[in-house]
Amino acid sequence: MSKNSKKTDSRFKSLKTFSTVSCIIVIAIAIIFNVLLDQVLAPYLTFDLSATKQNSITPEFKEFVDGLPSDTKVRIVGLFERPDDISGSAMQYVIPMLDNLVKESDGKISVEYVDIEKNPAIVTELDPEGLVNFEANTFVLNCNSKNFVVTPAMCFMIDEYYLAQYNQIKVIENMAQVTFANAIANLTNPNHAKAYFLSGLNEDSHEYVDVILSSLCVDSVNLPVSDSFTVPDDCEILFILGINQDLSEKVAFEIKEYLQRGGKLFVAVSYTQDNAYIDFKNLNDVLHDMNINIDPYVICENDTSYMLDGMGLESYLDVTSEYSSLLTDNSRVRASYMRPVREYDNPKTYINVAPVLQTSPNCVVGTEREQITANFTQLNAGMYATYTGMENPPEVYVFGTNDFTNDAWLSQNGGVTDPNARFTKEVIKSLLNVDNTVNISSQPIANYSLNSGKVTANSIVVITFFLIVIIPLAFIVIAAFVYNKRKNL
Amino acid sequence: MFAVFKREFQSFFRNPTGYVALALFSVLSGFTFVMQLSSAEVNISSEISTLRSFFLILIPIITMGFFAEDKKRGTEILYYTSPVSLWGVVIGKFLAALSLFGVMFINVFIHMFITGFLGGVVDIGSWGSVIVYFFLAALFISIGILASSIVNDQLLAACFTFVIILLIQLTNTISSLATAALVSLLAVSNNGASNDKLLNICTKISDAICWFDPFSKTTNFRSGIFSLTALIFCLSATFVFLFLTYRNLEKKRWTQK
Repeated sequence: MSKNSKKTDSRFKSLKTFSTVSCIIVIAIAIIFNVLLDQVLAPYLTFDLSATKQNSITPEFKEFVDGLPSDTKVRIVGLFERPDDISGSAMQYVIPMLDNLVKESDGKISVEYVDIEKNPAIVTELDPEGLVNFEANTFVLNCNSKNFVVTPAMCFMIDEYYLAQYNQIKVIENMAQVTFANAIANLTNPNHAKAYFLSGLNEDSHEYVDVILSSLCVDSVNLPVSDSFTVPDDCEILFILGINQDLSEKVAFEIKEYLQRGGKLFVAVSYTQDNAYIDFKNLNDVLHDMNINIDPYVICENDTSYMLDGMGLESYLDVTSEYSSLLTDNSRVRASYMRPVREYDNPKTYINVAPVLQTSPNCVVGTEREQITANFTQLNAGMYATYTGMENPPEVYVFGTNDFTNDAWLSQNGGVTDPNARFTKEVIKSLLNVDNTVNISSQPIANYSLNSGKVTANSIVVITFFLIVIIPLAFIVIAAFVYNKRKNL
Repeated sequence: MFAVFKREFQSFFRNPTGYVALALFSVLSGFTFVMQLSSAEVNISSEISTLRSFFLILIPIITMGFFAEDKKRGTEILYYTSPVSLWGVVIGKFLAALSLFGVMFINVFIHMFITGFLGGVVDIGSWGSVIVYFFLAALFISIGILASSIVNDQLLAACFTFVIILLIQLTNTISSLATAALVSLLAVSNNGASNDKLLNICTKISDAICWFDPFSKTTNFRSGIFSLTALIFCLSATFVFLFLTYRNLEKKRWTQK
């Protein structure tokens, strides 16, 4: 009996030891296997199956990186600790993309994350002269002793219309690859042009134009209007975009001076609620020197093949054959609430004016209340003017619409990949005579909106009732029935 | 194994437990879906992400009775005497619970159908979230089964499972708190002076804790980025917990008096 009990005890002990050891071994194997898998095979076992390939390097970006000189060394430093959970944050558009970029760059690009608060020495390491103001939670691209700061906000575009309507941010485009490619191009390109935006006239925002300029290695700076206003000598292109106030006489005078020096000017003014009553007398005074005038009316399209709304206030536009190279594919540009742009009666014969964008021959002009012209006619929504016979002539593109540069419109219509934005880019390229461009497309974020025609208040009530009341109640009734039937078993 | 699976799966519907779980899941998922629907924008991935936090309630309800109930009734002996291997018993029960989740998930498939019907998008990220949901469900069910095999009381098993799932869901927070506490402790011991080496160790500890978080490993699936390593992690963790359950039952077999 005691012999048997001893035997059982010893078997139990050995089984207990076996059990404990086997558990430890299984746990250890599982951990080691997963760590190895994570460290070695993770990049090969991760697949980007998303429709827009949000985090995979696009072929254009890969081509751009491959085209960089082999001795290029771009150091990207994230001034924060690398977060583990990036879902729902702006970093979800950046960190996985940068991981892929390092893999694809053949050693030209490196990425590291240094918490600026824990390691403040990184600031002097990147910028010994203290020229740049570094902030936490940003990226610094360092190359050839130059720095370029990229903030997370630069890596996506929001729906400006949605923001204005509902005061909520809705991300619609992933700009991470565009922003980083432009930053790398700016750092590796020694030749930079400078663009100035006239500001302080209640103008619309122009972030998309900034992105376009960045892709052309053009630095953009705001130029506020003031009593001591002058156009800087290094200004290679001046933008007057979406203004809702007229220029002062002083500003108009300085811009005229700038044009006489061979300046390049890009003007875009729509007919909006805020500026419908303004005739832009001083702006027109500037443009009259180039034999162009912007009228204080709105274009109303009557050709159904051009119309994009029932009123004819939004419509397609034709690019004139002379400027067809500005729109390289078969896509069409379109705009809404346009002011007619016409040739003025400046008698100087050396001014060369040409239409760039035209409506159909079936248009009228009017104000919000009344129709001004009686007969159908073809109108210009964009014109170009220059002086002939000069070595460094002024050049002006004038558009009676801001839909080629305005964030609110472009964010609703495809951003920098929209035909309007591509057209704008070509116009800027022709004004600046630059060719070293980075052509990387942004990636649209999936739109989860439902069909507004199908989602009615009634349908929501029916679905809610069915999902939250009928289905659960049915299960509860069955549960009560089953309980009642089996409670005595 | 199939016999155990069949018995366990049917048992969910022979008592109110399965129906209550189904009703609860229908309400929770329905509510999440309707909230999105009312804003005319439905992202199924977001709905599934929200549903993952309800594991905390659902898994303990489903798994608490698996072994604890048998112990209470005294039918536990059948595992050791019937011609079914203990592995078969464990796997059968595990698959039964997972199948119940499959049945519950029909609700989400209905939501997907409604979304498609209303002109919404059910993209690859949504399907990625579905896959992750089942892998995480498998992992947490295995934890629930282990808890049920360890303790003798159903309620205790449910509490045990609840706490473990809660800890896993709070891994990131725990890691941050642990790091912050260690950093403060170091600052106190060094009279406020920072020590880079020790700070590095704290960061490594934090990273090590976070490494065990299945949620952050699988977060990219909702964007359509499928990482097999994350799925393998969930599978191997599931296997480990099932193995521990098996060893625990095996130990009990040999200690039967």
